[in-house]
Amino acid sequence: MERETKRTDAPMPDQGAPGDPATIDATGSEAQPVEAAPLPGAIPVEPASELPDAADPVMAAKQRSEILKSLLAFYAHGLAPVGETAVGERCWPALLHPYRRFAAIRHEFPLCLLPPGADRPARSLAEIIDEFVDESGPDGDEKERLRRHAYQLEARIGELVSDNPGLSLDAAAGKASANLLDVTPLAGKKKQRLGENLEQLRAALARPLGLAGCEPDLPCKLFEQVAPRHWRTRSAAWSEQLAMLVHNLRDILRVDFDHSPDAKSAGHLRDALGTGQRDDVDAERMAAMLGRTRLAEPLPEERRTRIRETLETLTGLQPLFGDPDRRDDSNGVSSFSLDPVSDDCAAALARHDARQREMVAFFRAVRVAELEVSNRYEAALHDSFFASFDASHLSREELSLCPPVVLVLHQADVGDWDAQALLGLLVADLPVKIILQLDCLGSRTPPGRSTWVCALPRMAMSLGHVFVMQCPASRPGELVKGFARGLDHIGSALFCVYTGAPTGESRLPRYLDCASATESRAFPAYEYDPDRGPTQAERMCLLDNPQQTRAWVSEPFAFRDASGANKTRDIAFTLADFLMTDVRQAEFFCQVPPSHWHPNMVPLDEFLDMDWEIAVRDIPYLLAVDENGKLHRVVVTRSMVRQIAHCAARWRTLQEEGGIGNSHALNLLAAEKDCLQQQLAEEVARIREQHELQLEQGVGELTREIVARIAAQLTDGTDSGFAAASTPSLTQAAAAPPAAESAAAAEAVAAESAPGDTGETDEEDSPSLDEPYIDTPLCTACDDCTTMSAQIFAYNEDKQAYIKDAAAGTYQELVLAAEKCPVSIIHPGKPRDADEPNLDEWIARAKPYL
Amino acid sequence: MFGLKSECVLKVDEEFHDLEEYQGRVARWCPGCGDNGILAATQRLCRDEQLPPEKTVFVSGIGCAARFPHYMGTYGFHGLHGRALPTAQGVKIRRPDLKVFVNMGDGDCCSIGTAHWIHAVRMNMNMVAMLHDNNIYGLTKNQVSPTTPKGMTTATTPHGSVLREMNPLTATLGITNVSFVAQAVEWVPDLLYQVIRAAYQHKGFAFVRILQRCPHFMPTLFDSLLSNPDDIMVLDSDDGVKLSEATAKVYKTREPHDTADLNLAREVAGTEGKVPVGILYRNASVPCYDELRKPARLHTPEQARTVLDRAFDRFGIFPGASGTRHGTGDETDRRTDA
Repeated sequence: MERETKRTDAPMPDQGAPGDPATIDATGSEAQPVEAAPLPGAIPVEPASELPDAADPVMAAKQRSEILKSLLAFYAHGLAPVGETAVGERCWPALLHPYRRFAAIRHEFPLCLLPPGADRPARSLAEIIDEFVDESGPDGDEKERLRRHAYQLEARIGELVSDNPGLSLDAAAGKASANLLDVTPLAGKKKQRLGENLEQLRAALARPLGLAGCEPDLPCKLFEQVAPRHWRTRSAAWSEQLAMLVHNLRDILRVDFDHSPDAKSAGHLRDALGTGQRDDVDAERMAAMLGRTRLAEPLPEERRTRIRETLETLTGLQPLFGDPDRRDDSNGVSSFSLDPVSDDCAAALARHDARQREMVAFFRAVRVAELEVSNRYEAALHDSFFASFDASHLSREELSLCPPVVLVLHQADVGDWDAQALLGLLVADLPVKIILQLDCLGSRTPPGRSTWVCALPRMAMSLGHVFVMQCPASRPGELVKGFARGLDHIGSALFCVYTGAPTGESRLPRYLDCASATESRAFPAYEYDPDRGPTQAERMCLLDNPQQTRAWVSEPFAFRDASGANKTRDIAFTLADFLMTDVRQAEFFCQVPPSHWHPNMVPLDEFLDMDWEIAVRDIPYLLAVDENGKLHRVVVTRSMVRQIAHCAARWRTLQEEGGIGNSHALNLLAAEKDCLQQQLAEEVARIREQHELQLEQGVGELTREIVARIAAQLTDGTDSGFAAASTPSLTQAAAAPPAAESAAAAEAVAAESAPGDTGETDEEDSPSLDEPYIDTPLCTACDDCTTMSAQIFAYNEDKQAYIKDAAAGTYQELVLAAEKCPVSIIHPGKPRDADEPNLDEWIARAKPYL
Repeated sequence: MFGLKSECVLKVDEEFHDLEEYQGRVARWCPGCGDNGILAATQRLCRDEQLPPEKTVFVSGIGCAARFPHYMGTYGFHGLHGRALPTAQGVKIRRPDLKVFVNMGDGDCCSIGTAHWIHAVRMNMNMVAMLHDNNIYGLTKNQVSPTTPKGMTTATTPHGSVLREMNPLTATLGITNVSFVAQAVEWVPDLLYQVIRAAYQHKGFAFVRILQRCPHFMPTLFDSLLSNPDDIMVLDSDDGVKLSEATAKVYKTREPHDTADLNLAREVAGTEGKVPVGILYRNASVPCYDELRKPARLHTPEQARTVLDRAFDRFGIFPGASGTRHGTGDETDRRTDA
């Protein structure tokens, strides 16, 4: 740590190195003469804590009504109020304030795109670094230092990736490592350690992997990672079947040829012999001999042609499914190519039609081949069938083997005219996988952006047969899983991804922008998979939205009020908080200076709980914090409140569809509960009635018995003894537990006092008495043993002594150290060297410490 | 929140400090001195809490224990006898961002510094005060201290100490606004470390008495405790110290305790025979003087210099045109204007 200190005198021999913290001595007697030693650095001007500060509103009473009027005018009509300022460029929603130092936050980016042979498509750099650090050695200072250096490297790589999207991991690690070493303020030993650790990390990250940040092209990059893997997995078994079919068809043709006269010609025979035995065999004579053999019946020409055509069709598409003998490495085995269509529904449809024709021809050939191989093809029966063979004849398995068409749509490029084509495509359930990238979720969309696009996932979900996933780009793990499941689905799949506002349109880093979209319920993450089952409960899944049982995400927010007191209050993160960071939605927000704060201003979450439609004198505001840590109020317009209400309603519907607070289920539950309660009440009434009846009967009988006994006593003069009859049983019952308890207690005492229990445990834990050892946890770090022999004794990371190398000294030294140790924790064990002088004396002196 | 876990918010640009960095000069206490153990535990605390050395201050008075700041690789102030606490309070009130520790001997704290001790407890400022209690004046060679046991022969009591020793724990627990009192013995490193750590984590004035051996002048004082670990009574409470398995095997005497009960703490502190160790009392709700008097904003060095100049000018002599006169405090402004 480099610190600035002013010293007028040269350092004394036992002073710390220059730059170390100084000791200020007021007496001048005991400490070294350090004359002017001011506290380091400038005295901080900012508050010590990083809590945001609220300003003290100042408002003259007579201005109140004017301010209220202007605030209401903004709320109702969007007219800028008095003292209005636009929301500051660096003003963030209050709950996002702790994340302002975004570079110091670890998250899932950058992502490392793994090669095709890897077990998954991508891993976060953070995960790779954590794994490396965790496996780097035992816990301790070295590991902790490595971890911190690794985090610094990770952050620097993240910055490099956002500036240079094409960087590979090894290049980025090398650059970041060199850059860190250049700019580090560390010096000397610390810089050397940093260099060594960075070198280790650079070596561990020296892999030519692609890197991806949270960028607009992330969905396509991930899809390109997932789709080839998915295709290889899906086509693995089929490519073997296809190879077998091709092999069998070729066999038929080969056998047919072998039976033909051409196969027995001298030229063919000579070619068949190869080059080695060409001169040893007389091909002409062999041809003459073979020519006399009887020829088998050749294949009918019609069949031969059909088989040849079939074979040609199959081999034409065989590379698409890959070579089964080389299915362990890369994409090169398969000619599968994603080749997505971009922003053109008609082109996607055309490609689908072309591919469908190709695949129909292919599977017709497959079926013909299967019949031919088993010699079951009957022209009269099958010709007409195959003449009319089309897509409707494809089985589910065959459909699953049709490579999907991928359509990438960007919100900015989807026009209203695309709606019909898109809906047609989804309704027809064509095997088209649509990646829809959104970059604007507010109602104020820039020119050219269609608002209906945001509702497309909900519309697609209502069709019932389309796979739908909605997920922000900040969740690459969910995206990868969703893409794989969408590719599993045979029909249409719609992947709707919010990739963040375009550069310059949001005040937030893209990752936080995407995450905020989900946090604010503007873009909830969910998945609808028709393959999971027939019911909504099986198909619909909310993808771990934050606090998804609640209307809004609510978190505690700590700040300092105008008096300087620390306060905490829970505030909700609503759609308004998210849209406030979008400069395109600026007209809905207005930052109000503290001098214009009015008592009628109500926190937005509280305002939403009111009947805001009829609230005419309240103005909703949300809290924002600027880069200096000052708290601000931002008022919103009525139309924004309406957007928030619609957002809440959509989220509520989604919750119900996802099984959270489903109103039908709740109604049924309430009805069932009422029914049970009614049954219970009836049962209680019945039991009570029965009990009262029994009680009446019992009282009657008892009365009769008492009367009878009194009468008997009066006539006989003897005790009936009914009181005594009940006493013994009570006495016995009361007496039983103490007896049991005393037995148990006796057993416990016996067990506790059993000799040898603890002694055995201690013996097991103790090291061998032959070897010297130190009770390290009890060491008080007095330096005696380490001063006596630094070769034998050393301190661990907690500055407690242990025996570093018993063989580095004599037994005598061990015994002397044991004698000197103020807490008697050194145990010298037995001597290692039998020839050591005066050994008997040292053994005798060592006895008390064994 | 926002897909981020709170532990993901890292101070990645901060350097890791290992224990070595908290070591100052080579300790020159006597061989076997208990101060070594306190030093090791404190350095370990600094390392584990990753206290920035440039933001950590150790303040001491006079005595063996007062050499402590020299042996720490942090900032320090080796002050006047008995005045460690007011110095530390000055540091804290002016620089609330610093972590302040105070190391005092029993003479330093309980004799000449008693008034400061009482008021430091009452003011309850955020700092840790460690009382290195070896029951003797060691640096000045074996004079009786307030905690020297009755009957002990010292250089100033050749016929034995006549007064009964004072109990710093009961004294502290009797002071208004007391918020944290604990006791440890330096020869149980695990216990000592945990007590100091709990003191550091407490908001307010944390007073820790550490029984400490002086091998030179009081070599046998704690022999009975060392040979009879059962005489050390570990206070057992949910929010108290948790001994390691190895230490717990040796120190088996446990006493159920409630650290929030002041009367119980006083009762335990006055226990005769056994030595209570652990946290006796803790109350984080006691107001802290440094927070009550926190300035609205801290001053820049320039502002501080201006104010100081003005104060000095009040006592300056200015042989001006109108004759020699004493300053009025406005000279700085006038000179600036000129």
